[in-house]
Amino acid sequence: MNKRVVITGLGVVSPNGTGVTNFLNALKEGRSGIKWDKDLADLKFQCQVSARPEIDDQKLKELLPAGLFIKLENEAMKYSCLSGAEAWLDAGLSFTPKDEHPDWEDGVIFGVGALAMDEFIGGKFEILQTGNPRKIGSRVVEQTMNSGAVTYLNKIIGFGNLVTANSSACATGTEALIMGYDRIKSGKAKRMLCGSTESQGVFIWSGFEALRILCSDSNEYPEQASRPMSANSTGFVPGTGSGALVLEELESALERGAPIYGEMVAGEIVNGGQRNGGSITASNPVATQRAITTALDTAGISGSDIDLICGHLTSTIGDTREIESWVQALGVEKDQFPMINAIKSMIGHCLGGSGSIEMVAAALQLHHGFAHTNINIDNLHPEIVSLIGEKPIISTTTNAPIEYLIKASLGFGDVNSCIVLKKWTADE
Amino acid sequence: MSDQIIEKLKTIIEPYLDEIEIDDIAPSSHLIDDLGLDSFYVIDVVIDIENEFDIAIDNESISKFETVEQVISIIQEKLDEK
Repeated sequence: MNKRVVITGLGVVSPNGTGVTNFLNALKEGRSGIKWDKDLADLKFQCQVSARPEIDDQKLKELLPAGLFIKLENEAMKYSCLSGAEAWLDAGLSFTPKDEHPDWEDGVIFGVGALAMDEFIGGKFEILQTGNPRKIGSRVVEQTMNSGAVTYLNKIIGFGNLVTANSSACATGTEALIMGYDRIKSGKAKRMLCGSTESQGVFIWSGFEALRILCSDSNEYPEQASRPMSANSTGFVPGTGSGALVLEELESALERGAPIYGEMVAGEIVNGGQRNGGSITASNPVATQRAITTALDTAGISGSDIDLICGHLTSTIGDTREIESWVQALGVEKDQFPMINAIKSMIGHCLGGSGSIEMVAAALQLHHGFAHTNINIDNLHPEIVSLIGEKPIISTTTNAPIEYLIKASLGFGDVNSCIVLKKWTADE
Repeated sequence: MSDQIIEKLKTIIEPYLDEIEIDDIAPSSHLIDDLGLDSFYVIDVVIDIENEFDIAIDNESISKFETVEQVISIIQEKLDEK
Protein backbone atom coordinates (compact mmCIF):
# COMPACT_ATOMS: atom_id res chain seq x y z
CA MET A 1 0.00 0.00 0.00
CA ASN A 2 1.17 3.49 -0.69
CA LYS A 3 -1.50 5.92 0.37
CA ARG A 4 -1.26 9.65 -0.20
CA VAL A 5 -1.31 11.68 2.99
CA VAL A 6 -2.79 15.14 3.52
CA ILE A 7 -3.04 17.52 6.47
CA THR A 8 -6.63 18.15 7.47
CA GLY A 9 -6.46 19.73 10.91
CA LEU A 10 -4.24 22.05 12.93
CA GLY A 11 -3.97 23.03 16.57
CA VAL A 12 -1.38 25.06 18.42
CA VAL A 13 -0.31 26.46 21.78
CA SER A 14 2.55 28.78 20.90
CA PRO A 15 4.31 31.47 22.94
CA ASN A 16 3.26 34.07 20.39
CA GLY A 17 -0.31 32.91 19.98
CA THR A 18 -2.57 30.11 21.20
CA GLY A 19 -5.14 28.79 18.76
CA VAL A 20 -4.62 28.58 15.00
CA THR A 21 -6.25 31.89 14.04
CA ASN A 22 -4.31 33.84 16.63
CA PHE A 23 -1.09 32.06 15.66
CA LEU A 24 -1.63 32.77 11.95
CA ASN A 25 -1.93 36.48 12.74
CA ALA A 26 1.16 36.34 14.94
CA LEU A 27 3.20 34.81 12.13
CA LYS A 28 2.06 37.46 9.65
CA GLU A 29 2.77 40.28 12.11
CA GLY A 30 6.13 38.91 13.21
CA ARG A 31 4.88 38.90 16.81
CA SER A 32 7.38 37.89 19.46
CA GLY A 33 6.36 35.63 22.34
CA ILE A 34 9.57 36.15 24.29
CA LYS A 35 9.46 37.90 27.67
CA TRP A 36 11.61 38.60 30.70
CA ASP A 37 11.37 35.66 33.11
CA LYS A 38 11.36 36.41 36.82
CA ASP A 39 11.79 32.76 37.84
CA LEU A 40 15.04 32.57 35.91
CA ALA A 41 16.20 35.93 37.24
CA ASP A 42 15.50 34.92 40.86
CA LEU A 43 17.77 31.91 40.44
CA LYS A 44 20.56 33.92 38.83
CA PHE A 45 20.36 32.39 35.39
CA GLN A 46 22.40 34.40 32.92
CA CYS A 47 19.52 33.84 30.54
CA GLN A 48 16.50 35.62 32.03
CA VAL A 49 14.19 35.47 29.05
CA SER A 50 11.84 32.72 27.95
CA ALA A 51 8.90 32.02 25.68
CA ARG A 52 5.79 30.72 27.43
CA PRO A 53 2.31 30.51 25.92
CA GLU A 54 -0.87 31.82 27.48
CA ILE A 55 -3.70 29.34 27.79
CA ASP A 56 -7.35 29.41 28.75
CA ASP A 57 -7.97 27.08 31.68
CA GLN A 58 -11.71 27.33 31.12
CA LYS A 59 -11.35 25.68 27.72
CA LEU A 60 -9.34 22.90 29.30
CA LYS A 61 -11.98 22.44 31.97
CA GLU A 62 -14.61 21.91 29.29
CA LEU A 63 -12.47 19.25 27.58
CA LEU A 64 -11.43 17.13 30.56
CA PRO A 65 -13.41 15.21 33.19
CA ALA A 66 -13.54 17.23 36.43
CA GLY A 67 -11.43 14.74 38.36
CA LEU A 68 -8.60 14.97 35.86
CA PHE A 69 -8.79 18.71 35.42
CA ILE A 70 -8.51 19.66 39.09
CA LYS A 71 -5.32 17.69 39.63
CA LEU A 72 -3.66 18.54 36.32
CA GLU A 73 -0.50 20.39 37.29
CA ASN A 74 1.54 19.61 34.21
CA GLU A 75 1.75 22.45 31.69
CA ALA A 76 3.00 20.21 28.86
CA MET A 77 -0.06 18.02 29.30
CA LYS A 78 -2.40 21.01 29.31
CA TYR A 79 -0.83 22.12 26.04
CA SER A 80 -1.18 18.69 24.43
CA CYS A 81 -4.85 18.49 25.38
CA LEU A 82 -5.55 21.96 23.97
CA SER A 83 -3.60 21.69 20.71
CA GLY A 84 -4.60 18.07 20.05
CA ALA A 85 -8.31 18.68 20.63
CA GLU A 86 -8.20 21.85 18.53
CA ALA A 87 -6.60 20.01 15.59
CA TRP A 88 -9.08 17.14 15.73
CA LEU A 89 -12.09 19.47 15.76
CA ASP A 90 -10.48 21.69 13.10
CA ALA A 91 -10.40 18.64 10.82
CA GLY A 92 -14.19 18.44 11.18
CA LEU A 93 -13.97 15.32 13.34
CA SER A 94 -15.56 14.62 16.70
CA PHE A 95 -14.70 12.95 20.00
CA THR A 96 -15.80 9.35 20.54
CA PRO A 97 -18.81 9.28 22.91
CA LYS A 98 -18.01 7.87 26.34
CA ASP A 99 -20.00 4.65 26.03
CA GLU A 100 -19.04 3.71 22.48
CA HIS A 101 -16.19 1.65 21.07
CA PRO A 102 -13.01 3.62 20.53
CA ASP A 103 -12.19 4.88 17.07
CA TRP A 104 -10.28 1.82 15.78
CA GLU A 105 -9.12 3.37 12.51
CA ASP A 106 -7.45 6.45 13.95
CA GLY A 107 -4.58 7.00 16.35
CA VAL A 108 -2.26 9.54 17.88
CA ILE A 109 1.50 9.96 18.21
CA PHE A 110 2.30 12.78 20.59
CA GLY A 111 5.90 13.14 21.65
CA VAL A 112 7.63 14.92 24.46
CA GLY A 113 11.18 15.89 25.39
CA ALA A 114 10.99 15.71 29.19
CA LEU A 115 7.45 15.66 30.47
CA ALA A 116 7.68 16.71 34.08
CA MET A 117 11.03 17.96 35.32
CA ASP A 118 9.62 21.00 37.07
CA GLU A 119 6.27 19.53 38.03
CA PHE A 120 7.86 16.60 39.81
CA ILE A 121 11.15 17.91 41.15
CA GLY A 122 9.72 21.29 42.08
CA GLY A 123 6.79 20.12 44.13
CA LYS A 124 6.45 16.41 44.76
CA PHE A 125 10.10 15.72 45.33
CA GLU A 126 10.15 18.01 48.36
CA ILE A 127 7.19 16.19 49.88
CA LEU A 128 8.90 12.88 49.22
CA GLN A 129 12.10 14.10 50.89
CA THR A 130 10.19 14.72 54.12
CA GLY A 131 9.54 11.00 54.33
CA ASN A 132 5.94 11.10 53.16
CA PRO A 133 5.87 9.16 49.89
CA ARG A 134 2.13 8.58 50.12
CA LYS A 135 1.45 12.30 50.29
CA ILE A 136 2.70 12.99 46.78
CA GLY A 137 -0.76 12.33 45.46
CA SER A 138 -2.23 9.89 43.00
CA ARG A 139 -1.18 11.53 39.75
CA VAL A 140 2.60 11.45 39.80
CA VAL A 141 2.82 8.35 37.62
CA GLU A 142 0.43 9.50 34.94
CA GLN A 143 1.79 13.03 34.92
CA THR A 144 5.44 12.01 34.67
CA MET A 145 5.30 9.01 32.32
CA ASN A 146 6.29 10.07 28.82
CA SER A 147 2.97 8.89 27.46
CA GLY A 148 1.10 11.02 30.01
CA ALA A 149 0.41 13.82 27.56
CA VAL A 150 -0.98 11.51 24.92
CA THR A 151 -2.93 9.55 27.52
CA TYR A 152 -4.80 12.63 28.74
CA LEU A 153 -5.39 13.75 25.17
CA ASN A 154 -6.89 10.37 24.38
CA LYS A 155 -9.19 10.64 27.39
CA ILE A 156 -10.74 13.49 25.42
CA ILE A 157 -10.75 11.95 21.93
CA GLY A 158 -11.01 8.16 22.34
CA PHE A 159 -8.69 6.69 19.69
CA GLY A 160 -8.42 2.92 19.34
CA ASN A 161 -5.50 2.68 16.91
CA LEU A 162 -1.87 3.38 17.89
CA VAL A 163 -1.67 5.75 20.88
CA THR A 164 1.92 6.50 21.83
CA ALA A 165 4.59 9.07 22.66
CA ASN A 166 7.85 9.32 20.77
CA SER A 167 10.96 11.13 21.93
CA SER A 168 13.87 12.51 19.94
CA ALA A 169 14.78 15.69 21.75
CA CYS A 170 14.25 18.73 19.51
CA ALA A 171 13.25 16.59 16.53
CA THR A 172 10.39 15.01 18.49
CA GLY A 173 7.61 16.95 16.78
CA THR A 174 8.67 16.30 13.20
CA GLU A 175 9.45 12.69 14.09
CA ALA A 176 5.86 12.24 15.34
CA LEU A 177 4.61 13.53 11.99
CA ILE A 178 6.91 11.22 10.08
CA MET A 179 5.85 8.19 12.12
CA GLY A 180 2.18 9.03 11.60
CA TYR A 181 2.76 9.57 7.89
CA ASP A 182 4.38 6.14 7.56
CA ARG A 183 1.52 4.51 9.43
CA ILE A 184 -1.09 5.97 7.10
CA LYS A 185 0.96 5.25 3.98
CA SER A 186 1.22 1.61 4.98
CA GLY A 187 -2.55 1.41 5.50
CA LYS A 188 -2.43 0.71 9.24
CA ALA A 189 -4.46 3.80 10.12
CA LYS A 190 -6.80 6.15 8.32
CA ARG A 191 -5.92 9.24 10.34
CA MET A 192 -3.14 10.02 12.76
CA LEU A 193 -3.13 12.99 15.09
CA CYS A 194 0.55 13.91 15.35
CA GLY A 195 2.24 16.44 17.56
CA SER A 196 4.48 17.11 20.49
CA THR A 197 4.67 19.12 23.67
CA GLU A 198 7.25 20.32 26.12
CA SER A 199 7.20 21.42 29.70
CA GLN A 200 8.76 24.51 31.17
CA GLY A 201 10.52 25.99 34.14
CA VAL A 202 13.76 26.40 35.98
CA PHE A 203 14.65 22.72 36.27
CA ILE A 204 14.19 21.76 32.63
CA TRP A 205 15.98 24.88 31.41
CA SER A 206 18.83 24.78 33.94
CA GLY A 207 20.58 22.02 32.01
CA PHE A 208 20.81 24.23 28.94
CA GLU A 209 21.99 27.16 31.06
CA ALA A 210 24.74 24.91 32.43
CA LEU A 211 25.71 24.00 28.87
CA ARG A 212 26.02 27.75 28.21
CA ILE A 213 23.87 27.58 25.13
CA LEU A 214 21.07 29.93 26.23
CA CYS A 215 20.92 33.58 25.21
CA SER A 216 22.78 35.54 27.87
CA ASP A 217 22.93 39.15 26.70
CA SER A 218 19.34 40.28 26.11
CA ASN A 219 17.60 40.32 29.46
CA GLU A 220 16.69 43.96 28.98
CA TYR A 221 15.44 43.42 25.42
CA PRO A 222 13.64 40.06 25.48
CA GLU A 223 12.08 40.44 22.03
CA GLN A 224 15.53 40.84 20.51
CA ALA A 225 17.04 37.85 22.31
CA SER A 226 16.46 35.23 19.63
CA ARG A 227 18.51 36.09 16.55
CA PRO A 228 18.86 33.09 14.24
CA MET A 229 21.44 33.45 11.45
CA SER A 230 23.01 36.48 13.18
CA ALA A 231 26.65 37.29 13.74
CA ASN A 232 25.87 38.21 17.34
CA SER A 233 23.68 35.28 18.37
CA THR A 234 24.58 34.25 21.90
CA GLY A 235 22.36 31.21 22.32
CA PHE A 236 18.77 30.09 22.08
CA VAL A 237 15.81 31.33 24.09
CA PRO A 238 14.11 28.52 26.01
CA GLY A 239 10.49 28.06 25.07
CA THR A 240 7.56 25.77 25.56
CA GLY A 241 4.33 24.87 23.85
CA SER A 242 2.68 22.33 21.62
CA GLY A 243 1.58 21.83 18.04
CA ALA A 244 -0.73 19.19 16.56
CA LEU A 245 -1.60 18.18 13.01
CA VAL A 246 -4.16 15.71 11.72
CA LEU A 247 -2.71 13.57 8.95
CA GLU A 248 -5.25 11.73 6.85
CA GLU A 249 -5.42 9.37 3.94
CA LEU A 250 -6.25 11.46 0.87
CA GLU A 251 -9.24 9.31 -0.14
CA SER A 252 -10.82 9.65 3.27
CA ALA A 253 -10.29 13.41 3.33
CA LEU A 254 -11.87 13.82 -0.11
CA GLU A 255 -14.76 11.53 0.75
CA ARG A 256 -15.80 13.57 3.74
CA GLY A 257 -14.99 16.93 2.18
CA ALA A 258 -12.41 17.77 4.82
CA PRO A 259 -10.37 20.98 4.72
CA ILE A 260 -6.97 20.17 3.17
CA TYR A 261 -4.03 22.33 4.23
CA GLY A 262 -1.53 20.56 2.00
CA GLU A 263 -0.08 17.21 1.09
CA MET A 264 2.80 15.67 2.99
CA VAL A 265 4.94 14.25 0.19
CA ALA A 266 8.03 13.25 2.17
CA GLY A 267 9.17 12.66 5.72
CA GLU A 268 12.63 11.33 6.37
CA ILE A 269 14.75 10.73 9.46
CA VAL A 270 18.45 10.11 9.38
CA ASN A 271 20.77 9.66 12.34
CA GLY A 272 24.32 10.90 12.05
CA GLY A 273 25.47 8.17 14.40
CA GLN A 274 27.44 10.77 16.37
CA ARG A 275 30.21 10.25 13.81
CA ASN A 276 32.09 12.51 11.42
CA GLY A 277 31.54 15.72 13.34
CA GLY A 278 28.22 14.63 14.75
CA SER A 279 27.89 14.36 18.53
CA ILE A 280 25.20 14.16 21.17
CA THR A 281 24.62 17.90 20.79
CA ALA A 282 25.66 18.63 17.20
CA SER A 283 24.43 17.16 13.94
CA ASN A 284 26.68 15.31 11.55
CA PRO A 285 26.33 17.58 8.48
CA VAL A 286 26.39 14.64 6.08
CA ALA A 287 23.38 13.23 7.90
CA THR A 288 21.54 16.55 7.81
CA GLN A 289 22.16 16.71 4.07
CA ARG A 290 21.11 13.11 3.62
CA ALA A 291 17.80 13.79 5.38
CA ILE A 292 17.17 16.69 2.99
CA THR A 293 18.22 14.92 -0.23
CA THR A 294 16.32 11.77 0.68
CA ALA A 295 13.21 13.86 1.33
CA LEU A 296 13.60 15.56 -2.06
CA ASP A 297 13.97 12.17 -3.74
CA THR A 298 10.91 10.78 -2.00
CA ALA A 299 8.92 13.84 -3.07
CA GLY A 300 10.25 13.38 -6.60
CA ILE A 301 11.53 16.95 -6.86
CA SER A 302 14.83 18.78 -6.97
CA GLY A 303 16.14 21.60 -4.81
CA SER A 304 15.11 24.19 -7.36
CA ASP A 305 11.44 23.25 -6.85
CA ILE A 306 11.49 24.46 -3.25
CA ASP A 307 9.82 27.83 -2.64
CA LEU A 308 10.35 28.13 1.11
CA ILE A 309 12.69 26.63 3.68
CA CYS A 310 11.47 26.61 7.28
CA GLY A 311 14.76 26.04 9.05
CA HIS A 312 15.61 24.55 12.39
CA LEU A 313 17.79 27.66 12.98
CA THR A 314 18.04 28.12 16.73
CA SER A 315 20.09 31.31 17.21
CA THR A 316 23.26 29.41 18.07
CA ILE A 317 26.55 28.73 16.32
CA GLY A 318 24.85 25.73 14.69
CA ASP A 319 22.98 28.04 12.31
CA THR A 320 25.90 28.53 9.93
CA ARG A 321 26.47 24.81 9.76
CA GLU A 322 22.79 24.25 9.03
CA ILE A 323 22.80 26.79 6.18
CA GLU A 324 25.83 25.05 4.70
CA SER A 325 23.85 21.83 4.73
CA TRP A 326 20.88 23.43 2.98
CA VAL A 327 23.20 24.83 0.32
CA GLN A 328 24.91 21.48 -0.22
CA ALA A 329 21.74 19.41 -0.21
CA LEU A 330 19.52 21.63 -2.34
CA GLY A 331 22.27 22.19 -4.89
CA VAL A 332 20.88 25.44 -6.28
CA GLU A 333 22.81 28.52 -7.38
CA LYS A 334 23.23 31.28 -4.80
CA ASP A 335 20.96 33.67 -6.70
CA GLN A 336 18.29 30.97 -6.97
CA PHE A 337 18.30 30.11 -3.27
CA PRO A 338 14.69 29.92 -1.97
CA MET A 339 13.20 32.08 0.75
CA ILE A 340 14.15 30.94 4.23
CA ASN A 341 12.70 31.77 7.60
CA ALA A 342 13.33 30.96 11.24
CA ILE A 343 10.25 31.01 13.43
CA LYS A 344 12.49 30.71 16.50
CA SER A 345 13.24 34.43 16.06
CA MET A 346 9.71 34.96 17.46
CA ILE A 347 9.06 32.00 19.77
CA GLY A 348 12.51 30.84 20.85
CA HIS A 349 13.25 27.16 20.91
CA CYS A 350 10.33 25.14 22.24
CA LEU A 351 12.51 22.00 22.45
CA GLY A 352 10.38 18.87 22.16
CA GLY A 353 7.43 21.07 21.22
CA SER A 354 9.30 22.96 18.52
CA GLY A 355 8.96 20.59 15.56
CA SER A 356 5.19 20.37 15.78
CA ILE A 357 4.56 24.09 16.41
CA GLU A 358 6.84 24.85 13.48
CA MET A 359 5.05 22.32 11.27
CA VAL A 360 1.75 24.03 12.06
CA ALA A 361 3.40 27.28 10.94
CA ALA A 362 4.65 25.53 7.80
CA ALA A 363 1.21 24.19 6.92
CA LEU A 364 -0.34 27.63 7.42
CA GLN A 365 2.21 29.32 5.16
CA LEU A 366 1.71 26.71 2.46
CA HIS A 367 -2.06 26.90 2.64
CA HIS A 368 -2.36 30.67 2.80
CA GLY A 369 0.49 31.37 0.36
CA PHE A 370 2.92 33.44 2.40
CA ALA A 371 6.30 33.29 4.06
CA HIS A 372 6.42 34.82 7.53
CA THR A 373 9.04 37.40 8.32
CA ASN A 374 12.29 36.80 10.19
CA ILE A 375 12.74 39.23 13.05
CA ASN A 376 16.06 40.35 14.56
CA ILE A 377 18.13 39.98 11.40
CA ASP A 378 19.91 43.37 11.44
CA ASN A 379 23.27 41.74 11.91
CA LEU A 380 23.42 38.63 9.71
CA HIS A 381 26.33 36.26 10.04
CA PRO A 382 28.85 37.07 7.29
CA GLU A 383 29.43 33.40 6.50
CA ILE A 384 25.70 32.91 5.99
CA VAL A 385 25.50 35.97 3.77
CA SER A 386 28.41 34.71 1.70
CA LEU A 387 26.66 31.36 1.30
CA ILE A 388 23.17 32.47 0.29
CA GLY A 389 23.16 36.28 0.14
CA GLU A 390 20.73 38.43 2.09
CA LYS A 391 17.77 38.19 -0.23
CA PRO A 392 16.42 34.74 0.81
CA ILE A 393 16.39 35.81 4.47
CA ILE A 394 13.16 37.73 4.20
CA SER A 395 12.75 40.73 6.47
CA THR A 396 9.05 41.19 5.94
CA THR A 397 6.12 38.80 5.59
CA THR A 398 5.90 37.99 1.91
CA ASN A 399 2.81 36.88 0.06
CA ALA A 400 3.79 34.37 -2.59
CA PRO A 401 2.39 31.09 -3.84
CA ILE A 402 4.25 28.27 -2.12
CA GLU A 403 4.18 25.09 -4.19
CA TYR A 404 6.76 23.14 -2.19
CA LEU A 405 7.93 23.84 1.35
CA ILE A 406 10.72 22.01 3.13
CA LYS A 407 11.22 21.85 6.90
CA ALA A 408 14.00 20.38 8.98
CA SER A 409 14.28 19.72 12.70
CA LEU A 410 17.52 18.62 14.28
CA GLY A 411 17.71 17.04 17.72
CA PHE A 412 20.24 16.09 20.38
CA GLY A 413 21.34 12.54 19.67
CA ASP A 414 22.29 13.55 16.12
CA VAL A 415 18.72 13.22 14.89
CA ASN A 416 18.10 14.84 11.50
CA SER A 417 14.56 15.01 10.21
CA CYS A 418 13.11 16.59 7.11
CA ILE A 419 9.58 16.99 5.78
CA VAL A 420 8.35 18.22 2.39
CA LEU A 421 4.86 19.66 1.98
CA LYS A 422 3.16 20.30 -1.35
CA LYS A 423 0.36 22.72 -1.96
CA TRP A 424 -2.98 21.01 -2.42
CA THR A 425 -5.05 21.95 -5.43
CA ALA A 426 -8.49 20.44 -5.69
CA ASP A 427 -8.32 19.66 -9.42
CA GLU A 428 -5.60 17.02 -9.04
CA MET B 1 -19.80 15.13 64.66
CA SER B 2 -21.17 12.90 61.92
CA ASP B 3 -22.95 15.83 60.21
CA GLN B 4 -19.74 17.78 60.24
CA ILE B 5 -17.95 14.82 58.73
CA ILE B 6 -20.55 14.55 55.97
CA GLU B 7 -20.24 18.23 55.10
CA LYS B 8 -16.46 18.09 54.99
CA LEU B 9 -16.58 14.90 52.96
CA LYS B 10 -18.95 16.48 50.43
CA THR B 11 -16.55 19.38 50.00
CA ILE B 12 -13.74 16.92 49.39
CA ILE B 13 -15.66 14.83 46.86
CA GLU B 14 -17.39 17.63 44.93
CA PRO B 15 -14.47 18.64 42.65
CA TYR B 16 -14.25 15.11 41.26
CA LEU B 17 -17.86 14.89 40.11
CA ASP B 18 -18.88 15.29 36.47
CA GLU B 19 -22.53 14.36 36.15
CA ILE B 20 -23.76 14.12 39.75
CA GLU B 21 -24.79 17.13 41.83
CA ILE B 22 -23.29 17.24 45.30
CA ASP B 23 -26.72 17.36 46.96
CA ASP B 24 -27.72 14.12 45.27
CA ILE B 25 -25.16 12.25 47.34
CA ALA B 26 -26.81 9.82 49.76
CA PRO B 27 -25.21 7.80 52.55
CA SER B 28 -25.66 4.70 50.43
CA SER B 29 -24.04 6.23 47.32
CA HIS B 30 -21.25 4.02 46.00
CA LEU B 31 -18.17 6.11 45.21
CA ILE B 32 -17.37 4.39 41.92
CA ASP B 33 -20.70 2.94 40.74
CA ASP B 34 -22.98 5.83 41.74
CA LEU B 35 -20.73 8.89 41.88
CA GLY B 36 -18.60 7.91 38.91
CA LEU B 37 -15.24 8.36 40.63
CA ASP B 38 -12.31 6.69 38.91
CA SER B 39 -10.50 4.26 41.19
CA PHE B 40 -7.53 6.62 41.39
CA TYR B 41 -9.77 9.55 42.29
CA VAL B 42 -10.56 7.47 45.37
CA ILE B 43 -6.88 7.63 46.29
CA ASP B 44 -7.07 11.42 45.96
CA VAL B 45 -10.11 11.43 48.23
CA VAL B 46 -8.17 9.35 50.76
CA ILE B 47 -5.26 11.81 50.71
CA ASP B 48 -7.60 14.79 51.01
CA ILE B 49 -9.36 13.13 53.96
CA GLU B 50 -6.04 12.43 55.68
CA ASN B 51 -5.09 16.07 55.37
CA GLU B 52 -8.48 17.49 56.29
CA PHE B 53 -9.02 15.33 59.40
CA ASP B 54 -5.36 14.84 60.30
CA ILE B 55 -5.70 11.06 60.39
CA ALA B 56 -3.89 8.19 58.63
CA ILE B 57 -5.91 5.75 56.58
CA ASP B 58 -4.32 2.33 56.32
CA ASN B 59 -4.54 0.03 53.28
CA GLU B 60 -7.08 -2.22 54.93
CA SER B 61 -9.44 0.70 55.47
CA ILE B 62 -9.07 1.84 51.88
CA SER B 63 -10.36 -1.52 50.73
CA LYS B 64 -13.59 -0.66 52.58
CA PHE B 65 -13.98 2.70 50.84
CA GLU B 66 -17.08 1.79 48.89
CA THR B 67 -20.07 3.84 50.01
CA VAL B 68 -20.29 7.27 51.58
CA GLU B 69 -21.48 5.84 54.91
CA GLN B 70 -18.58 3.39 55.00
CA VAL B 71 -16.16 6.26 54.46
CA ILE B 72 -17.79 8.25 57.25
CA SER B 73 -17.55 5.38 59.68
CA ILE B 74 -13.88 4.87 58.86
CA ILE B 75 -13.21 8.56 59.45
CA GLN B 76 -15.11 8.40 62.74
CA GLU B 77 -13.18 5.31 63.78
CA LYS B 78 -9.80 6.95 63.05
CA LEU B 79 -10.83 10.13 64.85
CA ASP B 80 -11.85 8.10 67.90
CA GLU B 81 -8.47 6.39 67.92
CA LYS B 82 -6.66 9.70 68.10
